[in-house]
Amino acid sequence: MSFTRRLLMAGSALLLGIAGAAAQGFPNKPITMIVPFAAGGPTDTIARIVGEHMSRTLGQTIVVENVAGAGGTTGITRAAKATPDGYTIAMGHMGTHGAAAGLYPNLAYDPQKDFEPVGLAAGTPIVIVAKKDFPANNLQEFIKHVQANQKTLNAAHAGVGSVSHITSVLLNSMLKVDVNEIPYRGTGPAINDLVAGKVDYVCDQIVSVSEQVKGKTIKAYAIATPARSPSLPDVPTTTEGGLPQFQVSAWNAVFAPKGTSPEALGKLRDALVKAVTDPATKKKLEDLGGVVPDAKGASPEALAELVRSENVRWVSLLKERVKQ
Amino acid sequence: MIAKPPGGNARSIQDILGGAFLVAIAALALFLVNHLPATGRVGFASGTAPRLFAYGLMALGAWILVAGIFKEGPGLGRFNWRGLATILGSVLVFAIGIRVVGLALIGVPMVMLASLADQHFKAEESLYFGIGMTAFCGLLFPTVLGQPIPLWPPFLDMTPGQPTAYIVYAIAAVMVLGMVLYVGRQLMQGRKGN
Amino acid sequence: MELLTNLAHGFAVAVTPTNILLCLIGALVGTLIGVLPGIGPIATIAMLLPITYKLDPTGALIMLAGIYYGAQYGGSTTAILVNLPGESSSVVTAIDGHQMAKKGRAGAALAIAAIGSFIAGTFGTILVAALGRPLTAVAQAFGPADYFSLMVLGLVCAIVLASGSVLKAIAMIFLGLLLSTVGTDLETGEQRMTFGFLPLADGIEFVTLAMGMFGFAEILRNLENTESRDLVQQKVTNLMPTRDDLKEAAPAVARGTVLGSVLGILPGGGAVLAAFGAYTLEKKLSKTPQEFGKGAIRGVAGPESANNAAAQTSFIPLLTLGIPPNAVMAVMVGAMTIHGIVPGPQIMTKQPDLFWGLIASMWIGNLMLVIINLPLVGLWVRLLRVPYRMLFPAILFFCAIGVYSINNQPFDVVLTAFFGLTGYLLIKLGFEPAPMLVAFVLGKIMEEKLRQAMLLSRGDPWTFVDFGRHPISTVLIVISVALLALAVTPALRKKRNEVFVEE
Repeated sequence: MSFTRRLLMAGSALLLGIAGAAAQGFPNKPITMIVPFAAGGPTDTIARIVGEHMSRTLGQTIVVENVAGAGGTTGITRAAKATPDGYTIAMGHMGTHGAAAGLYPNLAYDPQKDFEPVGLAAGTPIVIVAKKDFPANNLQEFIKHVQANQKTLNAAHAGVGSVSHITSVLLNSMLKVDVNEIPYRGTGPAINDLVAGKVDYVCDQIVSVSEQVKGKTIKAYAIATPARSPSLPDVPTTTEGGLPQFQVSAWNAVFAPKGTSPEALGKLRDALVKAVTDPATKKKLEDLGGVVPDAKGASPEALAELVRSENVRWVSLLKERVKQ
Repeated sequence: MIAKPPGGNARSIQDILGGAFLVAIAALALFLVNHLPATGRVGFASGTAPRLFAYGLMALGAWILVAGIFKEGPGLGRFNWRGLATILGSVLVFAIGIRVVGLALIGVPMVMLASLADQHFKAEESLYFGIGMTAFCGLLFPTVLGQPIPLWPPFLDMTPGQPTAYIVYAIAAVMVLGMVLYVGRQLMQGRKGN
Repeated sequence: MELLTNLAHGFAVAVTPTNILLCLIGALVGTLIGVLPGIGPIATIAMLLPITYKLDPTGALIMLAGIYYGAQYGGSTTAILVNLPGESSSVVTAIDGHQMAKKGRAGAALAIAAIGSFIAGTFGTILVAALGRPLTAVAQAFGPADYFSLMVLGLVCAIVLASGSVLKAIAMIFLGLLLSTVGTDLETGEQRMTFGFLPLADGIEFVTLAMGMFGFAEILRNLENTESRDLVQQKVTNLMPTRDDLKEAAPAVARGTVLGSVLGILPGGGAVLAAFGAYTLEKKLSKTPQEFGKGAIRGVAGPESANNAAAQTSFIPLLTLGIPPNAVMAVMVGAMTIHGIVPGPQIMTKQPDLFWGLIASMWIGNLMLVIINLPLVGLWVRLLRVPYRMLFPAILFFCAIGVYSINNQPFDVVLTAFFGLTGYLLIKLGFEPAPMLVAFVLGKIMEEKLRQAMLLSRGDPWTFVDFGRHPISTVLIVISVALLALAVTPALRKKRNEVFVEE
């Protein structure tokens, strides 16, 4: 057994050496970032790009854990209940921290009270797209056509609670139309049937539709942001097209559970601001059509205000327009 | 007691119980979807498909049940209660423990409890096999495949440099060493035996 | 000849030492996760994404694609050896594959699966390269109504899966359909049969159901039947299929390849139909249908070829339109977007390196898989000699970890235990789980497409047989009705009851 003992002693000495070199304090182990959607979607992609840069600042890996389900509320529920030590954070979005309270009467968390805002990561603008032979050449004609033919038109969306669902509810309520809303399981199948011409129009995030628009398999009428997007420079904004009140962006933001220490929050916030203001990371996000906040936009105060205003905006609309 | 069918005692216990089981599941489903609308704007609503399937299942279950009364069929056979209890128990132990104490602590109890299902249970072999499986899976899933599976107990500070980390690593190393020695001994004995 | 130039370009891209190595790593990792029950390609690809950040997009995609079809190969290994289908496509392989293993012919089953998959993979790859564009148009012709009718046809085929009573098989199909409706309603968001329980809100996971009903129930049954489990271990005959086996399997491979290639193109669930569509076809065409369910080699060769062909052609919607047809492809799209490539209809012209390189690597990957897998057959078969008292706790442990890793949710593991209990009861009561699992998979797609079709037609149930508007749907419904009539005719039922032998 003397060999074993010597081996153990040598091992301990080695570990002690490593330990001496390792810095103490937050963070000293990998951080889990809960993404409440399946891998591969826009929120997941943004989380991975931002998380990768944050890992470099923090000196610890940020592991993305996809906990999908129920419009993202399953994952966010877990984040709300996690130990508030800074090692579990979540990438919430417009649905989980804005619309969810209007869609799920039994929501197990309070989007405003159960979280500490870390900061906004990126938003992806919403684009109104239609099948390629849709008989309208601009947004005004689109609106007139939809209003005149609401009995026969079909709007597709990616499932209850998805960004494309709630934004198309918003659009249809602004157009004061009651069109048929066809639910799909995810953006892929919805866009597939739009390309095939089985449904008439969809509202979705720019990254999900931009290449289809460029490839002319579908056409875009407007982008719901104040400025045009470099991803689709030919698509006018809703303001230019004459529907200025339709302003909506699928924002994604980092949250920590309530009670996370100010030290940890401070480091996470710094890392996030460094990530979104880093030119390379910013470019990656913008290449996907993302709108990246500046340091002020990525501040926790700005995020807290955004969550508040989004809750006001969505909850009453969805309670009124979506039957439960 | 089910009355004996007229003209003989030919009946299939399997089908009678099986049919009854399906009818019960269908009834439960119908109860659960009772609050959902059965028809909607376009004929189909959230409650339509579950109701259709449940009615179908109920009808088929009833058919199997009734037909079972009038035909011969195999009996139920022996039930493996010991296997059911230990195997399902071991899986539940895993489910409860995985986030509470981590893979490293839950592996051995789970494997040993599952092994109890077998008549030829050997405690020592099962212990070392459990250690081996835990070590293998602990390396494979969280480390090699990068799955976010909790390996160490979350209440222990496993930061490199913390005393708890050494203690835990040391215990783990001793256990794995023990397993290696055990396997070595078994192999030696096996060779002598041949 | 443009095709040859393009393919040559693709091979030039794919055959670099780095890309070959990445393809090999992908195929190996894929085989590994495929063999491990429960762990699926989605979780693995998601976890390996950070590694690909440092690679160029083509290399990254080659590796991830390798994981995808490697997992398809590996999945059938577990299905054959221990009756654990990790994916919907291997449910059918488990039926006859595991029976072959019990008869000591695991080697032949594994080898024929590998060979069939390679042939199918080669054909599928050529199809993707040569006819990608026109086939996309075919897939686009399928609307919700047509998919619904296709799923109906699938359910009718599922009846044939059973080797026992037709009545009980139909009852199991209804049970599977009922289970598939658990979860949040697609259209309204209402909770259905979830007991108000959040983890059930997204419905029951296929893996949870399959591991419980097949895996756990099989272990419980084996433990009470020491004879049948020892058979697996002792009577291992030759590792490779005999000349007769090959002759027997060849037509099944050919038919499975064609059927799988065609169904794989359809993004809305065509690929799930491939494997057991092929099984049904083989059973119907066979002169000895009573052998099916007892270890018929065609029952392995057909479905295995079909699901691998479908795995290749399911790349078509992604490569020609940029639309991911399933969850695995969605993760690959995510990988591409992280690299700054948003896939779209112009990917072939804008990214020819990536497009043709990936296609070439698909064939190289398939070749690698057959080279990796044929020698592994011996190792796998030897694994069956591990005493069962050690094998089954290991299987349970792997299953528990695998099921947990789907959503990182302990509740899924509890649910698996529950389905294990249910599955054991059902077996005891003389029901077969295979038709139920198939109906479960089809049921989700079927209800979704039915509701969409009804919404699109404003509630007209005749839309499915409206030849003017939905000719594909009409034809599929007519075939389904004809098959159903055949399946339940008394003469046929009599024939089936004759072959019904209780275990």
